[in-house]
Amino acid sequence: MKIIFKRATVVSSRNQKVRDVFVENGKIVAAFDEKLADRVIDGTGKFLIPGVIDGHVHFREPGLSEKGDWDHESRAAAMGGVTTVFDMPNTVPATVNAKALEEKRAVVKGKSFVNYGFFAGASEDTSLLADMKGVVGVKIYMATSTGDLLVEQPSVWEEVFKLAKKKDWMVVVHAEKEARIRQGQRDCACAREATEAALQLQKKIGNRLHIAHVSCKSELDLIREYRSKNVTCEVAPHHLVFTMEDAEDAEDGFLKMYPPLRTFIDVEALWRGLLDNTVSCIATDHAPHTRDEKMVSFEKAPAGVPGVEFSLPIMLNAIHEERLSLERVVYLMSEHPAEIFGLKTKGRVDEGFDADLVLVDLDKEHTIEAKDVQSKCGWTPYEYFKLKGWPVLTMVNGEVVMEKGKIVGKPQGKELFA
Amino acid sequence: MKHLLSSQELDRAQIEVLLQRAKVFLPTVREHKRLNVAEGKILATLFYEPSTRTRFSFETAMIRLGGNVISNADMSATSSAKKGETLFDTAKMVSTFADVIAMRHPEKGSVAEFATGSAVPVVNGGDGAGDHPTQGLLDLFTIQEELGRLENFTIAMVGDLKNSRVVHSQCEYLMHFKGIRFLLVSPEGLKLPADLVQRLRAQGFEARETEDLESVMGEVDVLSDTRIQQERFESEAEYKKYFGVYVLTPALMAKAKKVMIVIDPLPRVNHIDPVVDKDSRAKYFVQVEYGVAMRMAILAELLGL
Repeated sequence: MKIIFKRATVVSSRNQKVRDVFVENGKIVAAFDEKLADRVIDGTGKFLIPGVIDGHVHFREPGLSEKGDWDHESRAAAMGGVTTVFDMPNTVPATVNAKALEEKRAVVKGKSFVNYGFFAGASEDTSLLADMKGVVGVKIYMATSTGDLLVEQPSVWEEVFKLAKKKDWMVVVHAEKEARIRQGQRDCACAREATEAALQLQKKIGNRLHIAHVSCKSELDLIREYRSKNVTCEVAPHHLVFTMEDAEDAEDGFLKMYPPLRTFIDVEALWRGLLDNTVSCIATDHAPHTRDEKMVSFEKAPAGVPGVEFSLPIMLNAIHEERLSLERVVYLMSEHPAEIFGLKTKGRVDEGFDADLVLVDLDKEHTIEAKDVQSKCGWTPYEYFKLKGWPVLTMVNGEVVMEKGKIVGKPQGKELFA
Repeated sequence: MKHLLSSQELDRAQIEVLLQRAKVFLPTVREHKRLNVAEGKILATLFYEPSTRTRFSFETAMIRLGGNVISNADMSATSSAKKGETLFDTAKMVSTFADVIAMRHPEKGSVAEFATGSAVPVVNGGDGAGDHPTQGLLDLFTIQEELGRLENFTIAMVGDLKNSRVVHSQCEYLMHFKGIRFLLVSPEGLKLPADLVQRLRAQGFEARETEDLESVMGEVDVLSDTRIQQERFESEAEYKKYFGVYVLTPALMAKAKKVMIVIDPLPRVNHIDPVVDKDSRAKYFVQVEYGVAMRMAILAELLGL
């Protein structure tokens, strides 16, 4: 397919320019004669951005397909302008050895509407990681979350960090301190202490470290001190738009996630961190559970909320609130994630790059309703959010997969790193 | 940020925040709108040296943020100055009226001296041949917007590099970014101070000095032009010696790359041929717009908004 985006405002992390963009065989290419195009898409008044890269999703297969599956969740991604996702290892079986990884590969193959990669999970037997091939990196659960991947001993962390350095893998940590959780304290100190342990270990070993879902001001202050090209972190949209007060007195578990919601002071600090380069990227920690599972009391409900479908609209809406610029959104959601995850042909709308593209209408307003939700779980914490700024077309590997709010065509997603 | 007194005091993260926030404010400037983020706040502009552009730019920035302005365009003629009030005392007095102060003064270091007496944030709008931190930032913002990147480019700085506070400020900020080549174009007597050249080189930047603008024109991505400022010379004879050494003409522009930009703090004396204005690479008038957006960002930061 040869496609031309005409007169779109093309956005990079530093500026925007109105121009035409030419796509052929899945790549952005040099200008060709308009007569040769299979399709010309009018971009007048709209913004063409590189597809969103969401480095933290739980698409739940294999084993947890009542919560979510690759067909539904990847449709949700495409609908939200996300063109690449990295899936976490807490599935059933957990992705902790080569066999489980191959099983996941087989389940996902041919199903995904967006590009994808897998994380390996660290377990106490670090030798299992040795023959896992073609993964983005390795995830360490320093504290309990969904699944049973808890690795609590610092000696194991060190082994994993060393192995990751050798393999040039990124180590992603879920940084909360298990000992403190057992005392019933899942507070900012709990997150900060675990983050500090991971940062100190990284300083010693020198591997690539990525702190998942940073939620507290105190964590950010710490990360600012340790910042280097090998230390990165992410923030999830739910930590940017909700505070702990939103979950106060909740009779159900729809706003329960780990790490939990924080104070408005933390929320403001996170927004600040998005501007001064302390926060490296936005990642959703898209973690669907069924309505029934979440309908129970806050204490009994499993932790995690879906998000992949609405992260881009939430950030686009923030442009209208003078929180940040479209260029910054592109930096945090595409250009910089591409850089830190080592995707050399993604994250930019330039000749030679992959045609993972999203056309954005910054003026479109829409109120989210449960019936919009593509995720299998069928609910979203952002129900009734009125947002301004929506993706209106998503292209993955040179093919249109979403247009005007509808999924079109076949699954185009390819596994990366494999 | 407590004050903004010199271009040296900002780190990369602070520069990045200002660039990001300026971008957010840019549509407000372009559409001639007014926000309400600084409602109830007052900016005092104290200019001990004449200026139209910089003062208007600060005042417009404050008004577009939703704040108000109290102003004196010629502080040196005021009763405070005539009666010999110290800068410290003037600062004490003005900071009881205003929430933030923008000041320009012909003497290097005077704005910092003023700030010691001020109870509110002070921003340096130029202190003699010293520094002009907001101009350097708006130049950086212009390069980001118009060239599309802040890394890997060649900048030619042209004119009175010895006395130009604008050029000094640009150097300080650009040192935070990577892959920049500096071409320093000036007459022998008006070279960039040696310590600054050394600092550029010590940080791994290529800094090449030359008197010949024409010969380097084809390498340039950003041409940072400055007029030779009469007020920085002791005698008229000295000024006349350099006046009109570098004039940017269509013939010179013909030798430049197709994609490059020309920035200049203005005013124009005779150093840019008006025909060049029509060249799409000339960005010195749109730069004024970027200046307001950047000063909105600076004022918002200083006010903690």
